[in-house]
Amino acid sequence: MSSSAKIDRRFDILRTAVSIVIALIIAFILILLATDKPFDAIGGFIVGPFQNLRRFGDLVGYWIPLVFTGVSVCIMHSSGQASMIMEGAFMTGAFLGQIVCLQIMIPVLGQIAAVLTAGIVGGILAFIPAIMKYRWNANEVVSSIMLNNVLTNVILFLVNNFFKDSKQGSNQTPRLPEEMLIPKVIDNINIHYGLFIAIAVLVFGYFFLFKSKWGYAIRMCGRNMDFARYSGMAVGAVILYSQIIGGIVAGIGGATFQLGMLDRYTNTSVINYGWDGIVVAMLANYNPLSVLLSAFFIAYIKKGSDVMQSIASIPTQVSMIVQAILIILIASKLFLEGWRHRAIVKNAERELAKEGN
Amino acid sequence: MEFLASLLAPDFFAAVFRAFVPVCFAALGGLITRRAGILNMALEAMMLWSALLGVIFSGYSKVWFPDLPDVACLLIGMVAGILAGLLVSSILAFFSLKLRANNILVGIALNNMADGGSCYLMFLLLETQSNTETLTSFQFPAVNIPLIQDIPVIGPILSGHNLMFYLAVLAVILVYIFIFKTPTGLRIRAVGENPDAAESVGIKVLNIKTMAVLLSGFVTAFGGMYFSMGYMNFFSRNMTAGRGFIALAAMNLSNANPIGTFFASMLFGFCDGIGTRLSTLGAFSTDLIKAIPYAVTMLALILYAIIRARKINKIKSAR
Amino acid sequence: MAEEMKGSVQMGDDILVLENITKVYPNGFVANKDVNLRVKKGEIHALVGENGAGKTTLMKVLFGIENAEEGRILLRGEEVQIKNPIDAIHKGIGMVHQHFMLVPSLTVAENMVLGIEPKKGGLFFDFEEAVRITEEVSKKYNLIVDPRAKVEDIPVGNKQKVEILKALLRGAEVLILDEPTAVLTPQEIKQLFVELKNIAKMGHSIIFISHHLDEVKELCDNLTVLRLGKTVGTAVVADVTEQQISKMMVGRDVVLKVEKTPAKPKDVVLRVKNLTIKNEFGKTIVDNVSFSVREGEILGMAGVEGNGQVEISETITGLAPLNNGEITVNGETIKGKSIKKIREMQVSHISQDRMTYGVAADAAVWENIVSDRFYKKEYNNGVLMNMKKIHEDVARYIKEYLVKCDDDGQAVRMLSGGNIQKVVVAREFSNSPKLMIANQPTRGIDVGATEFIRKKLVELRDQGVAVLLISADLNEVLELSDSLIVMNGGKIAAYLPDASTVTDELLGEYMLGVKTMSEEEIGRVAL
Repeated sequence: MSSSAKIDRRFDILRTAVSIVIALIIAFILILLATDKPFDAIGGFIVGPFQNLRRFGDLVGYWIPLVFTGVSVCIMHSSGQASMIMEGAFMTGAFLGQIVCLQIMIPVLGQIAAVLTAGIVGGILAFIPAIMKYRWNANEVVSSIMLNNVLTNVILFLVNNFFKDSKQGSNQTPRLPEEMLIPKVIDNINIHYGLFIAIAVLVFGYFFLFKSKWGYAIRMCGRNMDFARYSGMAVGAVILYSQIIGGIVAGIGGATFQLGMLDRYTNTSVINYGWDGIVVAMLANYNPLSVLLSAFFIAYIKKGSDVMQSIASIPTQVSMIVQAILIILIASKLFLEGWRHRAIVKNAERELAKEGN
Repeated sequence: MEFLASLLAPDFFAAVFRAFVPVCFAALGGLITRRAGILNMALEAMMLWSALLGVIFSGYSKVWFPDLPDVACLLIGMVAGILAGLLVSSILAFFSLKLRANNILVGIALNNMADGGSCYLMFLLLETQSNTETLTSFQFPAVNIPLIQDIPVIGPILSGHNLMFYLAVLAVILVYIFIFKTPTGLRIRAVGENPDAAESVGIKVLNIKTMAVLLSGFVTAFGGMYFSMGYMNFFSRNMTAGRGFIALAAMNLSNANPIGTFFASMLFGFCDGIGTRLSTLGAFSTDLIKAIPYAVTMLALILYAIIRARKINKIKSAR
Repeated sequence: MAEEMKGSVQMGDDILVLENITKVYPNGFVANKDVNLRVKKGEIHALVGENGAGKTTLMKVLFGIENAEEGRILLRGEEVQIKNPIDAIHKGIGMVHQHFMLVPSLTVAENMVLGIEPKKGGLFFDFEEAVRITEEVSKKYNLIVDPRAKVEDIPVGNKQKVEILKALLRGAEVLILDEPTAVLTPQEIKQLFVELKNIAKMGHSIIFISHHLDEVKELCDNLTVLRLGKTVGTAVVADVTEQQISKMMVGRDVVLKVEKTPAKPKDVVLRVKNLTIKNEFGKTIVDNVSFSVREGEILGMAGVEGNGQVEISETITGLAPLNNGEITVNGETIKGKSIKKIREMQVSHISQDRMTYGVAADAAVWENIVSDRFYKKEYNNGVLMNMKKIHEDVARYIKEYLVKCDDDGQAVRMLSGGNIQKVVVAREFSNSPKLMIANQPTRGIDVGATEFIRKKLVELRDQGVAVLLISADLNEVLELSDSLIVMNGGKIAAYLPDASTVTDELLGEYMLGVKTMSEEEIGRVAL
């Protein structure tokens, strides 16, 4: 690789690393403010998730849905569209997962039907902002966020009026019996067989986006839509199917999460995985294979903040704040640009001097 | 029938105006940046922080200086709220304008950070993450306009609303004057439509854009403060509930015109009011009602896009 | 090689002198070398030259957009440094750009005073005062515009008036007009000339950049000719013919001969009939053009840029819709067909806009090369792409087309301009085209890459491909083409069946509208 390309590559990694460090420093400051046992808290944050199998299981429990939403964002945003529908598709997927299983009380068949339904509906939901963009050039960011809000309320309505657990307070569905859930790999630990579905989705995501003609078209549209059009690609169709497939993945993720981790559906237990998917995808540089690692990192932060809450009562919002900081820093193209520019110039001078000899 | 009659009652108008106020302020904020060519996705963040910090400062100023009159505490809270809006907007400006981050991502990140951060701050100060009810805080008062309030039928409809409602109406007028009747407003419009043209006559495009974003934070802050210092006297988690995006839709529908924004915001207030009215009648579930503003926003987006597409087609076929 | 021709009209002193301006771009390209320009007060001075002659660069130096390496600028006899466009405006130099710097939704008056807005009450914009100022300037120079009209509602000619008034309002003593007639209708052009002559009479100097020699003859007092970055000569317009100007403008320093055997053209591949294209303002850009290109032939399309060449190439390749006329490839019409379908008819396209259309700069070399064929059966095993075959073929192309890159995964952005173009050529040439539309294929790239690409074009032609070569580079269009059409004013000005017999002089005359062929002679190219 040429030396200036090496510098560029090095700086991309440096920028990500510095962003992570800055985000964590701010997190630590927030922790300091919240407790008089900061080192206990920070210790719990860093080491906690690995201290016992149960905690690690929880971490994996977080990792699984983040893989789904991360891959979903990789696919959707690589085409240049900024739809946020994965949040709503995930939630709807979870809801449908629970409901379908409740209706079809047949083991195995129920779960499969649930996950499939969730995927299909997720795709349909993602289609809505996509077609609004395609037909009327309506901003997909606003329309998808609005649709997310509509879904939240509609689902709440359905839960409270048709699927309520009459023995409990509002906003909950009845429990699913164990045979209708996705079984755990190890008893009482949150590592469930959904893990394998997640890995399958990861692999699918990678091959789809990087080894198939559809994924290639998605990525070229995202890089330069004029070029894609000039080369003969049907840009409008690409926008549509990239969103639909992303929606399917998010829907499947929701159902898998619900049936693997929970036995009752409530809105509040399935929120934010979609938004988290954005950071996961950004850290992975929109490559599904790297989502393996970046989803793990975000899951780690989430579990770490859970541990901090139980040790020192620090709100779990810390992880949300860390993720937001990461997004802002990583998205800043000119972050550390001064250093990078100087490094490139110095390198160019060095190269010229070499040639002169 | 009874339902329709109830729509004419002052109560209903009050509900409409209540929903109108924050949307109007935020829409005006979004309008100012839109005129400068920027899509402001961080309206939620601006409102959440100004709502929270306004309450905190007005409440704590009474706690620390018990002799201060309530009005002074309220004003301190207001200043804090404005500064909060300015702070968020300056972060947006710095990262998206200076460091060239994608302003949609920065906006979304700021919104999420505001949601989490506001809960965190409540926790730090009040040891709760749900609301600030434990802190006594102050509200902007309702205003009874003399003379007008005595006019039959119309009087009760126009008078008696919270001060911020009247401020919102005033803001519409002020923003209109600013955008269309001042030199700075002219420059903002030039920068938003053709930055090269502005640059060619010596206007510093980056400065104008930054100013527009900061101004947007200032105006939107009032929308946020209305939640916690006008409508209620406390802040609760995620109080703004997506109003920032509804405001964007209202602004789009009016094509970034302040007068149109006034009507579009009223329209959303109306939908909200109808929804509340319907839910008290028990006709529909509250949950479905809550979905109405968002669904209407999506329809508004489609409508706006269709209108814009027709306009472009008209120009094309005129050749 | 400077030629001073007879006499010089007394017009007042030199108000502007550009002395020995040399400008070299960072990539080594010498845009201006020792260029001299003298303009007197009250003079309309033509600056003529082909594309790439250095006129735009010289004006960029004058207007402060670029800095010259050597040379100096004298205004009113004193040497000045022009740091940036705002500085230029303050010093009395005004530029009327080809692409108008106007804000469409604002009124004329508001555009006029943008940046120097009159205020009332310290806070408010005084619109009435802006109207008054506009009317005052408008009357003074007899350029009538409606101050209250929105710019988006006024015709193109009036938009240009506003641009001119803007510059005059800001105190421009020297006005630069860059190809002002390109967007105007004939009536508007007549009007413009009346207005410009009037402005000059009032003591302002005008630098008129154009390649329309008839206009230069009608409007200008003196002229300066640039060619290949150097001043070729100056003259009094009244004392020279269009032919003489053309001879000074068009001509190669070095004739780069290309080795090729005579063409053996066979059947017609591309047939264009009665093609008419209007632009968004309704102006006719391509006027009833008909021509055909045959198998095994390179038909060159010469002409100064902006005479319809881009529009023609975009319509043939599907980037722009075909509204008026017929275009067939091997008998099959392209009307209504998608770009993909047209490419599948074995039509390849080198776009003149390399970075916008030709490549995705952040994507890898291999991704750029297979963008027109990635979906085909040969590159896909069922659901997945056959990466092995893709990389094999790409490796072959990289070797064959001498693309200098670290590996096929390198981002195209990292390559030199010449190598980026070779990536484009590797793609467009390797898909077995029957028709090749090459628009400015060697613009802005190094000599080595240029020679290579030209060689490849001749190879294609020898293999039986029909090539339409659109180029503003004389060497390219004269040496590579077998036959030649010349575009001027949206029409074909000439058809020259044997490019090897065409002199620079003759080509220049057709390009610049000094001469036009009869319709009958031109019609032969459509057969």
